[in-house]
Amino acid sequence: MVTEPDLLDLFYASLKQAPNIDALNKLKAAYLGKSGQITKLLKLVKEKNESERKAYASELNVIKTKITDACALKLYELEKNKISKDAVSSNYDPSIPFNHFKGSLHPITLTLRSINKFFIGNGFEVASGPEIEDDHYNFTFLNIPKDHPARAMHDTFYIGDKLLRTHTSPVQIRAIESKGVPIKVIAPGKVYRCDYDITHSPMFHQVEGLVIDKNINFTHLKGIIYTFMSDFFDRDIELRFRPSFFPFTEPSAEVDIKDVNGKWLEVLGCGLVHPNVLKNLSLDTDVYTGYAFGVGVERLAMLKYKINDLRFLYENDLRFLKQFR
Amino acid sequence: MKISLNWLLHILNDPNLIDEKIAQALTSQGLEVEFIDSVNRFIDVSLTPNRGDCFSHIGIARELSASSNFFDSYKYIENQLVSIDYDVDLEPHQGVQSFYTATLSNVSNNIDISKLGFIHQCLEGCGVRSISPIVDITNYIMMLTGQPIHAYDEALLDGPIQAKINSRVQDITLIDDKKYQINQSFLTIVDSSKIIGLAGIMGGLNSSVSKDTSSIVLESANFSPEFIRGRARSLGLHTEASLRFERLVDPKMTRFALEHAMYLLSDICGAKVKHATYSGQAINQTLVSLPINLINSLLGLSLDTAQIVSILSKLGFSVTPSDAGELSVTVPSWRNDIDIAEDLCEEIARMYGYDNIPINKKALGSLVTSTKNNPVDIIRDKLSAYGFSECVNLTLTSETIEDLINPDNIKIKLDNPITTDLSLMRSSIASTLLPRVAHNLNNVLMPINLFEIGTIFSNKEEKIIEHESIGIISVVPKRKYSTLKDQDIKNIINQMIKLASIEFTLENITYNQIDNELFVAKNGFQLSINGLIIGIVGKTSGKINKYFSINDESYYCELDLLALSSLSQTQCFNMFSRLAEVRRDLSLVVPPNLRFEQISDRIINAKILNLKDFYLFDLYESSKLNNTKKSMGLALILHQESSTLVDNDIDMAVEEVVNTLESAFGITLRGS
Repeated sequence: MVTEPDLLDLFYASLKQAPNIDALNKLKAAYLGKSGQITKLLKLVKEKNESERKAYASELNVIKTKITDACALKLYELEKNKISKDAVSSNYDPSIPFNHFKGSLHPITLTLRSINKFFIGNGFEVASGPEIEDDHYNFTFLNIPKDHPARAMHDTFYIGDKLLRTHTSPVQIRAIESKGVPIKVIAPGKVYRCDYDITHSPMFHQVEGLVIDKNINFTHLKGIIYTFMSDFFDRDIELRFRPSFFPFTEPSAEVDIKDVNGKWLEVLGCGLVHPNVLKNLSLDTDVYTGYAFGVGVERLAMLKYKINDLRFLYENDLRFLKQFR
Repeated sequence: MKISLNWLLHILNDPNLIDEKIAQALTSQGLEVEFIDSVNRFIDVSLTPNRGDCFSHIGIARELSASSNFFDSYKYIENQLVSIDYDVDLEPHQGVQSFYTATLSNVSNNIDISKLGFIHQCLEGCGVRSISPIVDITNYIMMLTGQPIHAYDEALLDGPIQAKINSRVQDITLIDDKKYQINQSFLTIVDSSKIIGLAGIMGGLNSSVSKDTSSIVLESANFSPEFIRGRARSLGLHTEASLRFERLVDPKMTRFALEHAMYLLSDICGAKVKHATYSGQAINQTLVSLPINLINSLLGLSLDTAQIVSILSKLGFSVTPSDAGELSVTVPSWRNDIDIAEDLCEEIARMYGYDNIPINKKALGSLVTSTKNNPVDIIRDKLSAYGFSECVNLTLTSETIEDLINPDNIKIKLDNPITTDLSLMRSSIASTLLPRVAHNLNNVLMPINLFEIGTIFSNKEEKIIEHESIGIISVVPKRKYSTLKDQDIKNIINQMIKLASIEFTLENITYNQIDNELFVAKNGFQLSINGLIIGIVGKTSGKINKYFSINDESYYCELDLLALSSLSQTQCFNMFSRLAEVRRDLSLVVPPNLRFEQISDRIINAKILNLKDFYLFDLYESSKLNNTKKSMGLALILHQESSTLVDNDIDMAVEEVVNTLESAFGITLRGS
C-alpha cells in the first residue's frame, strides 16, 4: 500500500456528512484541488524509484477516479433533493387552456371525404366537371329527351342556352368520352334544382358513381351499395332495394336504409346503365354493361350526424360548424 | 296520387287485403306508398314518370294483383257500357291517336245528390271535390280508368268538335276563369267557329257545363304525349288531364271509358244518348324479343322460361316462344314504357323482388387508380387547424351584393331564379361568405374566422368560366378572445401558399397595392408570385362593413386555387450547415405607413454578410409612440457556413442592418 490505508474511508465518511452542494465542493477541493491531498500525493510520483512508480501512479489514479465518481453521484443526489423541494413550492396548473380557438370542417366536407375514401379504396377514380352545363350532357345524352316528364324530376335553372347541372352524371359522360371504358368513376359535386323549401335547397351535393365493364350485373351493384352503406354508417345495415325509374338506368332502383327506429329512409338511387346511354357513348351493348348510382351528400350527412334540419347545413352558424372537427 | 282504399278493395273484391300489406306490396313493386291514412282510408302513391298506367284505381288494382294473377281492367266495366254505332272519320289528325265524342240530351245536372252516393264516396276517398253531377261522373271515370273525359255544353257549341293544331298566337280563357296566351305548339279542341279547349290540359270557359245544362257533348280522346308534354307547364298549369296525357293514357281504354260514362249519365242523370263519333288510327302493338340469357346475365339469376312467362303474363304481357332461347313478348296497350328487352328485365326483377337478387361482393373490372392527396384537402385541414371554420354556401347570390363587391363584372344571371336573393352566380367567394360573418356576429361571442372553398363564375368574352377559389375572412374582435393578431392573417395567407408545396420564403411574394371595392383605400393588395397573380388580400372597406353589419376590423383574402396548384412542386431537402446559428433582436421604431414587405425587400437587397434569415416577432402600434410610429421586433438569424461566428462578425452584420434601415426609411432603434 503506497498511500495511507484510511484515506478513502475518511473521504467517504466526510462525503456522507456533506449537507449541501457548497460543502461538497469544499470537500472535493480538499482532495482534488490544487493543494488537495490527492494532488499532493500525485506530485510525489516522480520522487519514487522506477520499480515503484508505475504501481504507485496506477493506485492513485484508481483512488482519484473513485473520489471523482463519488462526488458526481453525491452532486446528483443533492440536486435531486433541491428539485423536489422546488416542485413542492411551484404552482404549475396543467389545466390552463391553450389560448387558441380550434377551427372546423363542414359536415358536407367530412361526408364527401368518407364517401371518396371508400370508393378510391375500391378502385374508383374521382372526376369533376363544370357546374354550368349543356342541355346535351345534362339531359339528352342521358336518355332524357326534351319535354319528357322525367325532366319534371329535375326542376332546372337556365342561363341562356346553358343550364345549372341537375346531377353530376354529365361528369361521368365526360369522363367516358375522355378515358373510354372500362371505367370506374365517381363524380362528387354541387348540383342545382329549382326547388326551395324546408327539405329542399336550390343547391346541394351529389356523388354519382359509374362502372362500365364486361359482365357487370345487378348483383355487383348490390354488393357495392351494401358495402358502402355499412362502411359509411359504421354498422351492419339493413337495406331495401325497390324498383324505381331513372331515364338513364334500366332496371332502376331506389335504396332505403332502415334507421334505428325501424323506419325506412330513402338514401340512394341506382340501376344498370340504360342501353341508350351506352349507345350514345358509342359503346357496344352486347359487350359492355354497367351500373350507376347517385347519392345525396346532404341526406347522408344528416343521417350520420343526426342533423334534423337541412337549413343548418347552409346557415353556417359557428355554433353548428364548431361541432364538426 | 291519392288512392281510396275502400274503392280499391271494392274493385279487387278481396276482403283479405289489409292496408299495410297493400302498401308493402306496391312499394316493393316500385309504386312507393308514401303515406297510409287508415282513418280516412286512403294511401298516397308516389308514381314515377314511366308509370302512366297506374294513374287510376284500376291501374293500381291491376298492379297489385300481378303478384298472384292478371286483373283484366276492361272486363271490370264491360257490364256497364252503352253500346252504340259511331260515325267514323278515318282522316288522320295530327297529335291524335283517337278522338271519340258522344252527344247526350236530357241530362239533369241538378239532381238529388243521394243518387250519386257511390260516386261521391269514391271521389271523396281520393280527395276529389264534388262540383256537379256531370263533372263528378267524368272525374269518377278518370279516377277509375285513367282516361280524362271532358263534357261540353252542347248549347254553347257551334257544330261538331275536333282536335286541331293551333294556327296562330291567341288568347283563351279556360274553365279556371283565367286567360292564357297560346302559341302554335298547342293542340286545341275547336268547334266550327272557335277554340273550346286545350287538348289534354283543360276545357274552355266558353263551352263549360253549368247547373242548367241539359245537353252535352262528351269528349274521350287519346293524344300523343309529344303534343301535350311541356305545354301545361309553359302556361303554369298542372292538371289531372295533362299529368296523364304527358305520360300516355291507355289507347284501348278511350272507348270503354266513354261508354261507361254514357252508361252512368243515363243511369244517374237520365241522359239519352243521341249519337257518337270516332276518328283515329289503329292502335299499334309493341313487340319485344327477349333473350332469356340476357335476363339472367343482367340480373345475376338463373330463371327458367316458365318462371319468366308466369311473371310477364300476370302483368298482362302475352308471351310466345320464338327462336331458341328467345321469347316474343307483346306489350299490353297500357304499358308504353316498355320498348326494349332491358325494360322487361326490370319487370321481371321487380316482380321477382329486388331484395331476392343476390349480393355479389366480388370486385369486377378492378382498375389501378391514383390516390394522390388533393391539395385542396390539405389546405382545408391546415385552415381548420389554424382556427378557421369551413362554410358551405349556396353559390347563388343577389345583384345587390354583386354590385357591391364586383361592380364592373359581367353578371351571370339565372333566367328563372326562385328569389332575387339567389338570382346570380357568384363571382367571388366574398359574395356568399361575407353575409355569414354578419349572421355570426349577431349570434355568437366567438372570434369569427371563416373560410369557404368552391366554384366562382365569370363571363369573359361571352364565355362562362368556372374556377375553384378559396375565401378566408377573419374579424379582429374589439374584445380579444385569443392571441390572434391582425398580422396573423398575413401569416395564414403565407401558410396557404406554402401549403401548395412551393418552396416559399417571403421574398417570393409580391404585394401590389390595388383599388378594390372590398378593401379600404391603400389597404388592398394583389398577391403574385413570379408575376403569376394568385389572389387578393386586404382590410375590408367601410362600405362593405356597413352593408354586412361588421363593426370590427376585418381582413379578407381570396386565392385562386388553380394558380396555387400550378405553383405546386415536390419539396426537396437542402443540406444545412451543422454550425450553430446566432440570434440578435432589434426593436425598431418604424413610420406607420411602411409595410414589412418594404423593410424586408431592403434588407434582402443589401445582401448583408452572415445574415441568414430574419423575421418579425412582434408588432406594436400605439398612440403612446407619438401616434406617428409603430414598433417592430425583428429577429436576425446570423450564421456562417464554414466557421463559428465571432462577436465582431455579429456586430458588423447587425450594424449593417440598422444602417441600411436608417438610411432608407429613417428607422431608428427604440430607446436610442
